[in-house]
Amino acid sequence: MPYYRCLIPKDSLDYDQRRRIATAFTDVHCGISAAPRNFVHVAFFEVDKFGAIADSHGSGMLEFGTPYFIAGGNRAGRSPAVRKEILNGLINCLSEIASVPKEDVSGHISELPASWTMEAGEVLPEPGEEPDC
Amino acid sequence: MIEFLCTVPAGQIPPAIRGTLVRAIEQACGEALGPDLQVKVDWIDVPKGFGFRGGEPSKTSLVRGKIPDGYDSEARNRLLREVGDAWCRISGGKEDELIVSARDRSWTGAGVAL
Repeated sequence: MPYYRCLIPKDSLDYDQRRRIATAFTDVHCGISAAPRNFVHVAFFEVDKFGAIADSHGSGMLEFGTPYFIAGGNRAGRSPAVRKEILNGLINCLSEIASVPKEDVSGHISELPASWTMEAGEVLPEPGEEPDC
Repeated sequence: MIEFLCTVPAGQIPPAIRGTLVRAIEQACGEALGPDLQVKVDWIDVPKGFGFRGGEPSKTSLVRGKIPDGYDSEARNRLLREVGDAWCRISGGKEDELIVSARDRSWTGAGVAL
């Protein structure tokens, strides 16, 4: 399941902006990956300064030096080029909706084998192992 | 050491049942992965209006674990299912509003950054 955490300065985004960003992230992810829309999770966390956050899909800490940071996690199996395409799309959306320069936004996407996650009571299939509809 | 991080929508999981959920996670770890493993559980509450699913306000809880390397898919699947069953039973939540994961401790995530 795609999980995007947005670290944002305190009081920088109102509810409407957060909702629009969450919808835009969903559009970007589903436009590139064809995942169902309700698979895409976006959460916003307000922070006081630059710092680091634990990698949700890896083992280390993600350090960031921009006011806005996207810490993403997806299922494994996409090429680095596709992951960068998704991340670039997310950065563009956040920059535009938050009305901040693109240089103020950075991000990172990690991956996890799909079968290490259970969603809606079902262990997720690896890419290519999805059941036929 | 096993670590779980439970990220929940604020108000969705009352403090009164969190101890029961922690004990259920500990029990699931013992049954699926073996006895004598230390289990640590932390909580993050996502404030109302800060969590979304498919662009809509989210009611979904994310229960993400890090387990020692080396377990096969049978053990991992058993852990996921036992944690999920216990979570729904204790919280009264729906399966559709819960995600459980268990990744190997050494997994690096193969990340890309911009």
